[in-house]
Amino acid sequence: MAQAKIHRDGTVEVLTASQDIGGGARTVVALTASRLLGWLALDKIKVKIGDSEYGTSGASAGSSTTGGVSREVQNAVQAVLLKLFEVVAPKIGAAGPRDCQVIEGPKVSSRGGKTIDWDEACGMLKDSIMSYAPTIVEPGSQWALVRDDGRIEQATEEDYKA
Amino acid sequence: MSDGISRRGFLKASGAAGAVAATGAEAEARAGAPVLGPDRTPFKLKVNGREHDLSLEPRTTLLNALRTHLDVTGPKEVCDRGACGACTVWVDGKPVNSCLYLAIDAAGRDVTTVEGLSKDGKLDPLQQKFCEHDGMQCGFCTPGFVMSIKACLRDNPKASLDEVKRSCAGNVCRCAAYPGIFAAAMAVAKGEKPEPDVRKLDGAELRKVVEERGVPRVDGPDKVSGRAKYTYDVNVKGMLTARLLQSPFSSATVEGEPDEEAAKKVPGVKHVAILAREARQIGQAVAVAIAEDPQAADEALAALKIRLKPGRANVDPVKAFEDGNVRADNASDGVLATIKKAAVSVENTYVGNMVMHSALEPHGCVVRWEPDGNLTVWESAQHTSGVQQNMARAARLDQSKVHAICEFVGGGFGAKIGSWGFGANVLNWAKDLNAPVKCMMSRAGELLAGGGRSPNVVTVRLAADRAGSMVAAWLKSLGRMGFYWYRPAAVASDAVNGSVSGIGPTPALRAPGAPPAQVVAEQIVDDLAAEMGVDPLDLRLKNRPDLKAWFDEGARRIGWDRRQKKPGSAKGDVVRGIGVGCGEFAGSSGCDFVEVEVDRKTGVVRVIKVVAVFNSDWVNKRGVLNQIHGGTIMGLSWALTEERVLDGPTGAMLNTNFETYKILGPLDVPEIEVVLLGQAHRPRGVGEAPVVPVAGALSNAIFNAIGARVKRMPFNPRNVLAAMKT
Repeated sequence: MAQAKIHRDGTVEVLTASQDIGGGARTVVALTASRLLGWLALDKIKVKIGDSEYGTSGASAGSSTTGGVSREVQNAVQAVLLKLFEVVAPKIGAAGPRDCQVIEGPKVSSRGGKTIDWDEACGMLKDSIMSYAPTIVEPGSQWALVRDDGRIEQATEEDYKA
Repeated sequence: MSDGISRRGFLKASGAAGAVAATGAEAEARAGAPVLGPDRTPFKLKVNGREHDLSLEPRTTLLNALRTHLDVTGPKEVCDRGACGACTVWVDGKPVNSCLYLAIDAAGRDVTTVEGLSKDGKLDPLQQKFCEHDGMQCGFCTPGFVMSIKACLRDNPKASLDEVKRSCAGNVCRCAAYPGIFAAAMAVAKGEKPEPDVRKLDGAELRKVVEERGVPRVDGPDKVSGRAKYTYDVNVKGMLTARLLQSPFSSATVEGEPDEEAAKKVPGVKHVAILAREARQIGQAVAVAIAEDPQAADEALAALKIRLKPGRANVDPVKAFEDGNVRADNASDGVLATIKKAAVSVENTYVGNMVMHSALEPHGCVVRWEPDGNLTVWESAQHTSGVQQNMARAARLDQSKVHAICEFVGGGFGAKIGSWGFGANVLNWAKDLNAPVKCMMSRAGELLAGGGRSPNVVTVRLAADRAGSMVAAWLKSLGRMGFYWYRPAAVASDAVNGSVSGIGPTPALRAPGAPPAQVVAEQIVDDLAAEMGVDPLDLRLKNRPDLKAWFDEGARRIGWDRRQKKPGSAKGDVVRGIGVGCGEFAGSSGCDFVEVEVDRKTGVVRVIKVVAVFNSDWVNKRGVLNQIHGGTIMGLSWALTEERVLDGPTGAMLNTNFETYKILGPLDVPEIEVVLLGQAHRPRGVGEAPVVPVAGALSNAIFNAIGARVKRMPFNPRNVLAAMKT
């Protein structure tokens, strides 16, 4: 399981119970989050791992950690971004959260509206926001996804085609 | 000499070392010098510029004083006898193994640990370069390497690579991040400026760095500075230390009555117990002692004077292979008939060695019961949730009441996938003694019971048509073994039901099953090429034409044309050879080209160079390269030097530490050139695949050099010389 938090100052925290045995899991978590956030600087991303307080983890075995945590982090980050977009969309002229996206910069852009810097977007939050994504145990298995509306459910064949 | 000294000895419970130390004290006493101890003696210890007042028994090692009494945990305890360098600190600027140095001898001197290298949170330039070049993986050995190499570069700022390697020749990195370590040292020796801080880059600039070369691992600064706290480093208030006495025999019974009274009288001891009168596995815990200090616990174990009588051992895999019942594959008759009719066929029997996981941080945990009845557990494990679940079950608690912490883990390689089975006992001791308890296995304990890969014996036949297309392969082995990669038209595998017993846990080891099977395949393919008088690379290409690009690239970079056209035909005592091998695991795959130099008089094999052509995508390219380096070197280590030696009659493990169970060190590491084929931004695990191809490539390179097949692993002087005699 992974959790992602966005703070008002533009910093991000990513937490997962998954552990690093030397393969570089913390760095995989940080880079995965950074890429999804328009290549947010690594010193703005705090990674915390290896603690059951952060949720549940799969075992670091079978070369599965990189694949597993990448997807967990991806799901958690995408879910927390939707929460950010809900706040930001009306302020930048977007019709709704799904009309917003993060682009390289990092910046938050909107279909038909303005493009603003990441820090400015985060500054629109009243408070820190967070999201969860469930543990993905095996690479290639049917993993769960966080839907646009925040529901967590089993992924389908359609999701893999995307 | 006082009774106290003869009773306790100076160094732990080590007989020989204790005797020498006592003799020295005796001589000093005769010369009129004051005799210190055995009781606590006050002295001052200056560590990283700060003076501490200590009162410790004179036999206390500097390592124990730093770690247990001053909570300076950068220096690590791994082998406890100067065979690994993980505890390296400086005394008056000179690197020493702090596990072999008495704390009291450091009184009045300047002790510097890795924590003392960074000033005001700013890393030393060498530490910075360790981060930039990713000279680490799990990080457990890193403080020791930093201290050894930093001393070299301080005295010799323009040191050569050879001088750097010699400065850390006493250090061992099980993850084998050696190429990064050497690159870091040489960057400092060449006066290279620090890289721009990648952590501050964003947007397109950061993406470009990720696509082109990758980033330094984000926890690098914690690992190079000693800030990273592993389970072994956890010192919580009021914590007691449990030490185990483990059977070195594959089966044994306790004879007579252990002297529990004597053990309990050792100062600081809180609990002593016999855990088993009969051990059925090598490494099974027979007794425990729990004390305020690890050395008191060790002393109590020695005071028990446990006498173990070994039972009858059954630890020889060759005997198991020869005596066992064969469970034939349904396809065997047909496959054997095909092989008989084929234009060409070869048969060989190879003996695989038992290698041990040997993570530098041993198995173990720290357990603390909280006032509200909840449980906090630190464990060196590969699965945080697994620790939580297993401890909750053992404590009969709801999972939500167990807090499991695996923040930094000093290597695992498969042996720490589950929660440590012994944790349940620790839980109970912590409850009964009403105090947090730390229990970590010793190095010997880890080599006895920390996990290893079962040895195997394999007979294999391989047949091809005139053109070299493989038509059939047949195998017979302990357990059923596959024949992968070269895809003969038919394969059958007979399983021998015989087995060894009492050899201890054999959990998954990095790419479980693959390296032993692949080395068999690669060796018999080369044997077939030799039988047919063809180039072994051409034979592979004939059967795997899809790999032409890999083979061309690797052959060009290693200089395949330089290999001996007729294996073993070179003149002289020292001869060279080149070999190839392939392999895959979990979606990553590649081939290795290995060049070796073999001394035909001594049987010593030196690996000159490895070219690894690997197909893997990446999130962090730098991390992937490190994994390929480390996996390749670990595979070489398994094949070249590592072997658990068990005594035939008693089943006792004879090499229970790193001076006899040999892991490749800085001086043994060849040049490794990696060709990485793949794409950025695609998560794919590459921790296991690189260990698969290298042993076969190595074996074939040795065959090319000496013209004889070394059929028994590892390819150490004994086995190489034996192969040349036959």
